[in-house]
Amino acid sequence: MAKDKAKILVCEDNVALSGVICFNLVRAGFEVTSVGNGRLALDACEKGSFDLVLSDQQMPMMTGIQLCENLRQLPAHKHTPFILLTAKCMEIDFIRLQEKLGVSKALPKPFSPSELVACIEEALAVGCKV
Amino acid sequence: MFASKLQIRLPRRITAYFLLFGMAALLWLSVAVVYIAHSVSESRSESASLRSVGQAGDRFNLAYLRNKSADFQPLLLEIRAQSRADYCAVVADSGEYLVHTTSAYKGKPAGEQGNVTDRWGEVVELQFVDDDGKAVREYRIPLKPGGKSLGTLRLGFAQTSIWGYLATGAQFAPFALFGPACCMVAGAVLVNRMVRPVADIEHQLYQVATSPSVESCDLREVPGVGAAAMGWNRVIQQRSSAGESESLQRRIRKTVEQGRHSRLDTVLNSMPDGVATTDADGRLTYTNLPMAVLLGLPGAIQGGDGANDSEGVPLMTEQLTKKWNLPETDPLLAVENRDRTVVTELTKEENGQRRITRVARHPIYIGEGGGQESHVWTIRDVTQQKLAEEMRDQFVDTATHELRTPLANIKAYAETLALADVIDVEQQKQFLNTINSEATRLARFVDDLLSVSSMELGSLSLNKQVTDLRRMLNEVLAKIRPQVEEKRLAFEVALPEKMPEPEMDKDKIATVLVNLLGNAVKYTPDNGRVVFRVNITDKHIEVSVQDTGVGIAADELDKVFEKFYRSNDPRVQEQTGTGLGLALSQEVVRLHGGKITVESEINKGSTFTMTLPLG
Repeated sequence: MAKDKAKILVCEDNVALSGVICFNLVRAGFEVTSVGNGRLALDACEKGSFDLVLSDQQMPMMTGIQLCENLRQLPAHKHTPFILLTAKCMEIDFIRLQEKLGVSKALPKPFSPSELVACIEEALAVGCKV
Repeated sequence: MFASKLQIRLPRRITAYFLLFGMAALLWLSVAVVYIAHSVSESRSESASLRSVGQAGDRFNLAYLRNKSADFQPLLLEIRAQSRADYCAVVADSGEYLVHTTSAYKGKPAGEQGNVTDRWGEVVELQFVDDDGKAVREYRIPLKPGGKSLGTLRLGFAQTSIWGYLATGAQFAPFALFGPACCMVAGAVLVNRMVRPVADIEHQLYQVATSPSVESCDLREVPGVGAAAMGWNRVIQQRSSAGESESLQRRIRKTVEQGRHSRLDTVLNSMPDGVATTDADGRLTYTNLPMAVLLGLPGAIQGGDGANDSEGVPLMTEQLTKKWNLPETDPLLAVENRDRTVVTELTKEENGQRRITRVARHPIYIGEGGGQESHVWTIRDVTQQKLAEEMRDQFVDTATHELRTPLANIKAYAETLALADVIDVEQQKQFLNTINSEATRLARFVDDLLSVSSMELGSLSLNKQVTDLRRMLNEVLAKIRPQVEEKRLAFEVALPEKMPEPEMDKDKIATVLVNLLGNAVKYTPDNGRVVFRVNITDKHIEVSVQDTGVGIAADELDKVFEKFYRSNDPRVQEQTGTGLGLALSQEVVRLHGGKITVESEINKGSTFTMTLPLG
């Protein structure tokens, strides 16, 4: 029985980090699409649908939060679970993110890949509450 | 209400009373004198008369005894003369005149009218009014010469009535009364003069008593040297000098305030901040010059001389909306903030430049003489500050990112290697390499950070050593080549044949060159060109890095060496960077006694040239 692989979109501008994330997610059994910036991520979301979006916060041109805001405008992804990777965990008002944008988790860098996988699995299970 | 009673002025009354009572006293005195004189003379004459009568009786008796039938008329005449009587007569017991000084009466019957008024022994005094209407006093003494009664001797004195006295006195009266009268008048004049100051004072006080406003009364000094005059004059002087000193004080206060105002004005106009005050309606009542400029007003509102007509004076908030895009939602406009301090920041675009001001409004607490002002405003141009803050924030963001990203990679790869089931050897090697390079990247960034700190503290030091320049340059080039190749840039290197071995801090200069080359590569799009040229002269080493990259705008050319400065060009913002590289490089080169210069044209490319002195 072929398990329906959850489709994850990874948006990360750092090539090395993107690589290790994708490696781990694939090993965990997800179908991974990787893009290098927010614009490309939105393009991908318009064209296809994903079960979860994982994004870095600090990216040039469009931050992870801006990506999430834009994502919520797309009808297909209004309730797609969203996980934010960020180096500035302390400054982010996570409560607001959760309430207004339906961000499931804000994961600080550096992070443990196994922890990341666990977060993804939890987010997929719980779904998006927005 | 007092007016009706103040008909006759007091001093006149005093003088009048003085004269009146004086004259009355004088009169009474005159009357008394007259009466006393009269009585005294009366009693004197009485006693004289008595004596005379007694003597006359004796004399007559003697004369009779000597010669009974002699003519006694001469004797009576003598007696009369001596006793100063009016008449002298002898009346027989039978009642007719025996002898009378007035010979006509001889033989006639004597009248018996008259009342006995007194009696001394045998002498009797009678008083009556005779046929002529004269008041007479008669003294009678019985004559008994040789024991035989002959009759009575009568000595008559006309009574001088008081009127008689007065008549006699009247001759002397003018003279007698002249003296006292003169004294009285003199006294009255003196009294009047003494009383005059009091009169003047009283007159003025009458004005005070009856006028509606005490201040408006024109009170003057009175002449005189008495206590009342001097006291009054002093009061008047003080009143006028108090008034004068009060108006003087007022003038002084005004001048001082004006002086203070103008000094304050000078001070306020010399501040960089704008200061203004508004009244309760929010209309400007004062602005210093910088504020007028900031608000775009035609001139500063610095009146104090005459109120500005409030129609022409703008509302502060209107002005701010016009010139500084005050948003409707700004707390300055909220009614509940009227009595609170409000600080807000306003932004506007001017000639392509962003300008930010901080506006603070404080309520003024009306103390003494608070006047119209109800709020004081200060405006400060915080553009520079904001820019600096923003740059710093941006730096912190970048720093955090630059520190955490390599760490994230290191951790992720390491954990993956440790926990993953099967990874082929090639991939393992790849992961380990990544860990390595990320660690190196992190180390470099940490070095940069530390260098910046040193720079800030002024403790950046050089480790100068004799350096193999060629070797160092080759190392630098080797480091940069991978990046160049990755972007497929054309890379030209021009090194001279002979290279000196100068004294320099090899590592730091290498860092500088790596920075310059790294920038060239970073900011040059794919398929561009980078040229690295080294030129040795007698005195200097010149190293230039030229690229065909995005270039630097003319107005940013002198800013690129500033700490944390990152160009606003989006193509630059796209790349990660801390804004520290050039600042550090410049400092290092400066410490070597050299300099870094830049030439650039936007969209064409830049050339950075490092010059180091030799020797």
